Amino acid sequence: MMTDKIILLVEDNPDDVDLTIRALEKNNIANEVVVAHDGEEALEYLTATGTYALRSASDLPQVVLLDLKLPKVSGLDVLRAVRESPRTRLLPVVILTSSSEERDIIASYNLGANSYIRKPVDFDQFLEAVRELGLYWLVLNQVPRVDR
Amino acid sequence: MESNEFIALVTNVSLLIAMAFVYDLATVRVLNLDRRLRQVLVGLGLGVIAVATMSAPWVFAPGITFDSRSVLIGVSGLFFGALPTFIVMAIAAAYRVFQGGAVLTGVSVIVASGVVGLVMRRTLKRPLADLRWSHLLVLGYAVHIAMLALMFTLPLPTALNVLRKITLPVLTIYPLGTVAIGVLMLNRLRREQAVAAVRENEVQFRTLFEQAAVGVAKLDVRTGTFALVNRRYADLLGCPVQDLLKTDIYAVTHPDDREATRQNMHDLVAGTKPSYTLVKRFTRKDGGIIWASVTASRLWRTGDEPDFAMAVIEDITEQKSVEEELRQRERLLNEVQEVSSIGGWEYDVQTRQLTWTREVYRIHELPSAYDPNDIHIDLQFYDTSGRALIETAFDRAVTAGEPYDLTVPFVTAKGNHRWVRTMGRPELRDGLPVRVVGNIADVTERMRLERQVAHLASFPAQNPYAVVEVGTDGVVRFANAASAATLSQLGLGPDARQFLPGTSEELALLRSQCEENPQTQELQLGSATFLRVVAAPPGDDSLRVYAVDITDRKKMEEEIRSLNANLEERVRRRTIELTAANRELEAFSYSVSHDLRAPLRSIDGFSQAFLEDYGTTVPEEGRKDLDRVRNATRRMGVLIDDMLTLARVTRSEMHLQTMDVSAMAAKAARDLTEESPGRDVHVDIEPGLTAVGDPQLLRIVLANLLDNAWKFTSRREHAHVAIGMVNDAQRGPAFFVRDDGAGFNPKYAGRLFVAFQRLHAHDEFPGTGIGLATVERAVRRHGGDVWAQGEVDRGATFYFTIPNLSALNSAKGDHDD
Repeated sequence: MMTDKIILLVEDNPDDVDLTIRALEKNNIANEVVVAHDGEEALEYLTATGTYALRSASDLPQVVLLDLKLPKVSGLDVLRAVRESPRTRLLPVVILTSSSEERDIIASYNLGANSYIRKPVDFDQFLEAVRELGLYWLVLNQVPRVDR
Repeated sequence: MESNEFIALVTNVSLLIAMAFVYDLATVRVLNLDRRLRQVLVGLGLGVIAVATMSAPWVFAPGITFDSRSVLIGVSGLFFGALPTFIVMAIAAAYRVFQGGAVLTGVSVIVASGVVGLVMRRTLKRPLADLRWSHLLVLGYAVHIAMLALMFTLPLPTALNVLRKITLPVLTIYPLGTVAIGVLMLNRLRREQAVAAVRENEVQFRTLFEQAAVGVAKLDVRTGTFALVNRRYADLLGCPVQDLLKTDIYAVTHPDDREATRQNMHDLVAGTKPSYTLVKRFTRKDGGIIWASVTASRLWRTGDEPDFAMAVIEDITEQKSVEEELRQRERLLNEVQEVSSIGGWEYDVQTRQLTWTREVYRIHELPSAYDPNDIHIDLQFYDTSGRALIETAFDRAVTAGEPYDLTVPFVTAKGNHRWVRTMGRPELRDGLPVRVVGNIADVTERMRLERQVAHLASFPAQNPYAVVEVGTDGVVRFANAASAATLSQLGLGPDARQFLPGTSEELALLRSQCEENPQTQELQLGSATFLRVVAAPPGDDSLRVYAVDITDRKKMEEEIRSLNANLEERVRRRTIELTAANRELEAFSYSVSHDLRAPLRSIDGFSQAFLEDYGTTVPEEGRKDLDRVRNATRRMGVLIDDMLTLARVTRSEMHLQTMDVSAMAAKAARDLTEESPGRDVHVDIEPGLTAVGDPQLLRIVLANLLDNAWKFTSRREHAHVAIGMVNDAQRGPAFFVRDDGAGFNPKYAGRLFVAFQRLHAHDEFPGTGIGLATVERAVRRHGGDVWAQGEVDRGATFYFTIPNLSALNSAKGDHDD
């Protein structure tokens, strides 16, 4: 698999972080997973500011798995910021959340989410969902080259 | 003998002529002689004739002669009566005695002949002129049978000898001779009587003609000249008879009537009518004019040449002038009645004839051809109460002689409503009504005015509201009791001008405005508010003010307005509260959606992780326990999802559109088929089902119902599910989802749609008990109804209706609770 591509997981719940990572591993997705625990951290990572100031801003993850309910900056605000910045405008963002509220789904797609996945309670189903996610966004999806 | 018989015949002829002459003497009063003297003369004349006949006898034998004296004397007795007959008898008897011979026989025959004639005259019951020849024959036989009988006065042998010889000739010739002479006498008598009658008529006519009270003239119809005029005629024309005879009828006729006279005369000549009657004018000699009624009759017989006519004229000048006067009076009466709208009538109690004047017809609006004599038809002009009044009054007038005077409503023949005043005054004779004279007057206009005046007079004074009339000069002309009471109740002074203040200029301006339309304004007087209407009475320089106290109404209006304002405020507040509650609820379900599921996911996820990581070291019992944890977790997840769905169905905004229900059902069935590949479920969907509603909600409804059907047919090897539409008697067109699965006990049908109620054990048919509650919510939000039929092990059918919501659009928020 493509190990050089980073997955940015924005998730405040450590259980969910572990379960997601476990699911990825179970599906043999060996990409590096960077975890941001809130929206602010996620944005710092992407813009190479704050905690990640030493990082190269041009080094973007292959895909962002974004929870909506986040401390500090909400998932939707993160998404909005990502889409507003020309640098990250085309970054694949998959919403991975517990909510199946219609308004959340609509708002996400309105802001340019590439996909919306609801985390099922049943871990087996979650595994399946993550497998499909990884297959599509990490293997099949062709990311356009962006001028830096 | 032969010469004797011839001489006898001649004698008889001469006898006849003599008799006729004598008779003339007897009947014609040529000489103005005394009746008795004339009879004596007749008797003497007859005596001479008798002597003459006896001088030429038929000698039977010497001393026995026969002559016609018996015939003469018998006829004399019959026709001339006693005195002349006695005279002739005496003369004849004397002459017989003078002749000698059988004197006794001869005299007795003379006497017998006369007596028989006289007896017959006496016993006859009819006038002589009416005698018949049979009477004369009887006389002839009677006389001559007596004569034969008297032959026995002769010596018997002579008598028998004589009788034997003369009986046959006497009984054949002499009676016939009697009849012949008698008939001649009769004819003579009759002719003379006729002449006498004519003469008498002529005398009578003359008298009549001359002394008639009417004018009579004989006219020559060819020329019109007078042939004869009587005195009265001449008097009428004021012209002597002689002068009239020189002129003609046209000359004395008034020029205007000449043509009519000529025409009538012409008709008479032409024979088209035998007489005519004409009312015409004559011009008198002195130039005066008389009116006369003329009746003229022709005097010639049909077929003869027309010559004269008899004209009778009667002076009717007097009558004419009376007629003229009557006509004049009637015209005057009619005119007066017309001017006064009063008609007159008259009822004759005896003949029961009712007579109307022209005005009565006009009041009834009837043609004058109408016969007023049917009293019942007349009474149809009155309404029921008026008719009863008039009938009674009229009856009392006719029977008891009581006069009446009634004013009643009336409908004319043309259906116009009027008021009439009708009076009747009976005329009494010997205390009994003989005639009722009355009048009838159209008093509609007066009644209208009276009512108007009464209305005008009573209205402002009795008006419960203030009515004030103010002249444009500012002077109060009228103020009703209510206006004074109103002012005093308000503790204000008595000046009625308070209702309409302003200078006279302002009032004049207001008046001109009011002439088009009454002006309405509110007026504040003390503590009260009035609605003031100012009107301009016609043809007057004043203003009439009507003031209606609307204080209470104003107060009520104010209260209603404030209540309305409060209501809005309360609604607004309540809306805010509801909005807040809604928002809280939303936040709640949002966090349920997020936060309640996260721990479940952890429990499930880590249970799985635990099993995977340490499964080998965990005893079989421990693994089973963890499986139970996971199952419970998953069920909790489903429960949360279902509750969220239920909450969403309740809350979400509805977007109505026309939906293809068949297609939606097919989609839901396809999803289920894919999810449960091991199942054999035959799905039958009625095509073309549509409804107007929210697709999201309907999808939930169909998914839940089909999911149920799938679930409860899970024990069937070959399951059948049908989706379609039926027409429910009470609820109208209803969709249904039918299965042939486990069904349910109808006893619990009511609990099916209550959230968390389950009719089946979980391990039998898993479920949260929220699905049907969700279905019910979704259907109810469409204003529809949902119900179920079923039996244990015989399948279940769920029905729901989706009324066309477009009409209920405005009420869509009603179910947002």
